[in-house]
Amino acid sequence: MPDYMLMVLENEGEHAAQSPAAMAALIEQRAQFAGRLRRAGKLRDHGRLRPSKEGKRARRDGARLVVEGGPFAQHGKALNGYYWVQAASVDEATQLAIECPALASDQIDIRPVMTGRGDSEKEAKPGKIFGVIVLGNAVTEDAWVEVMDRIDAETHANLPDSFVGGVRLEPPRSGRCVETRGGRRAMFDGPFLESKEVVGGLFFIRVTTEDEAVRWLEATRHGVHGAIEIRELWRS
Amino acid sequence: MAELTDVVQQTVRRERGRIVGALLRLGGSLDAAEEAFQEAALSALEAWRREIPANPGAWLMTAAKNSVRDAWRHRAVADAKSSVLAQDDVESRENPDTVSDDFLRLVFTCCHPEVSRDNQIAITLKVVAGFETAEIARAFACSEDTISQRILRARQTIEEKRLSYTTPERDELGARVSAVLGVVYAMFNEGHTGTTGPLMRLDLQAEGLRLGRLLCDLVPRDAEVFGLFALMAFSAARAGTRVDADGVPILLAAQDRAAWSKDLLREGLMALSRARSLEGRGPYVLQAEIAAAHVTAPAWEQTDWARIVASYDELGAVAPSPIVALNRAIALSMRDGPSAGLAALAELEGPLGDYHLFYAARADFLERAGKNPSRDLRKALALVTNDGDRRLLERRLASQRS
Repeated sequence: MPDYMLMVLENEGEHAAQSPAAMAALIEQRAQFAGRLRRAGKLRDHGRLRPSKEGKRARRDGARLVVEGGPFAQHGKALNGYYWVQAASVDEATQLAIECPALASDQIDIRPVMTGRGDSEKEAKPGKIFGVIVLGNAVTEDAWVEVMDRIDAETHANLPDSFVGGVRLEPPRSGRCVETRGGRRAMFDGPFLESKEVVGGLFFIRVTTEDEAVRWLEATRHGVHGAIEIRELWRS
Repeated sequence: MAELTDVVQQTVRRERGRIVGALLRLGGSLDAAEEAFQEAALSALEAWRREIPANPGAWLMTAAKNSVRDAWRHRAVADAKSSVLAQDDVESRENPDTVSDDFLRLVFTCCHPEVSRDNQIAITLKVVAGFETAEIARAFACSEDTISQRILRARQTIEEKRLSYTTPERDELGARVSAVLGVVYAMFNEGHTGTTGPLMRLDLQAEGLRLGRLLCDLVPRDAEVFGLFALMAFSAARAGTRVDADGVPILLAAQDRAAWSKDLLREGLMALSRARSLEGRGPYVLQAEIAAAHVTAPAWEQTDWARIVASYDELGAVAPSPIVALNRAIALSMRDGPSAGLAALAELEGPLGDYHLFYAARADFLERAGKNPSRDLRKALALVTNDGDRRLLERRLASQRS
């Protein structure tokens, strides 16, 4: 059965404005949603990323690598959660995204997984887990595949032994997008290629301190493709 | 140069725990480990003047190990032990498992159950968190001599009973973690309700939260670790709304809920969610559940008292105490009315007869039942040791007379 990544893109301001009761309810609903997926044998991994204002992003600027601090938002939204699911088809994955608890301002991107290695036990291990979001700006499918090949090659060379799983995504053309419009959650084809940068991969590193993650980011060469972002994972 | 001092201080602060812990693993003696770390920190101040290293933590670790090696050479034990150190040096990359083991070893040593609570807190702040004796004394509003004595006694206990030589067995781990949580929570609480002195000491609270968060990274499979962190986050979220401009406590019922920190509430809710996904519901998880019910209520009047009473029932089963019973009685009075509260208090006067909050609660129930609470308020006033609570009780008594 193919794998899909459901990526939850959030307007962080809307989430921060929730009442404590609404905040608690959403957290609980998400835990239950993940539990349902797990019991149905559909969940490979899931997680939440800490607010983008705590994240760091590296970008190649000429010969220089520039590392900047958050908040980060693409079209006003930040990647704050993911569910890596197994589904019979992209339609089933889309249906799961529609059922996924979210605020009306959230957008959920559904993207087929090209290759991936899961470690659903990563949050039970000591240390800090950082999500590494690889953002690409490839405009054609060939360029996309090339970008992913280079990331793959570099990842294996660069990654410390603390690699704790991750995925490489199919080109954005094959993706879908679930949004709330007019009070209704529904699927819309994603205008992915129009946006400057799209997520090409998401993987996880286990380190001992945030400094170590930043040093890792500064040493990476991924920035050459677009940008790379590190965000600590909540333990949830 | 101020900048360099800052970098050194921050690095020393952040790296202290794991480095002293690693030296403890290699050498076995807390005193020697600390001494080596101090020397490394001093040499950093000198060496980093030329260039700040790319990985300051690794630099400090190497310098500290060299310092240990020098000390061994001095005592002519180098031959016997140098192979251990060389072996360790080979692992140049920091493995998160080793690092967390080292850090935990130090925390377990300072918070060992054989060391008394006051001494545990003092030595943890000194050795794990790296505060000066004077700073700790100021935080606890007591003399430097007192704190020095506590640290000294903790060190003596650790050396005499060789507490740092033993890493807990796996089946012992839960109990040892629980001892550490007790220390962290006591430290945190000292930050907002001292028995004497000013009510708010945010630095101890911040330190408690920092250690709590660190423990979540070190022991990510223990529900109680996340329960404690959630409990502290919920409490810290309300920090700014807990006392009025005169320093008198504001009861939860009257606090400005809109001013609670959303970021800290989210931290707490996420930690509680993690705790619920793990096995076991111990005292901290249950107290966090109760705090969560309070902080998510839109208003005091809309609090889910049934849920709170149920959590107190659970808490009373795992960790029975008269204080838990008192708090349960308060929740019960909100769910079922003041006479239910009074009935629940009846059997608590024995164990809590010298506790001011027992009489404060009974006064509240009596008042809500339309009776005169003055006698109980006066009893509470005669027993109270905390200045803020005293002023609050005086106000309540004054409003009775007017």
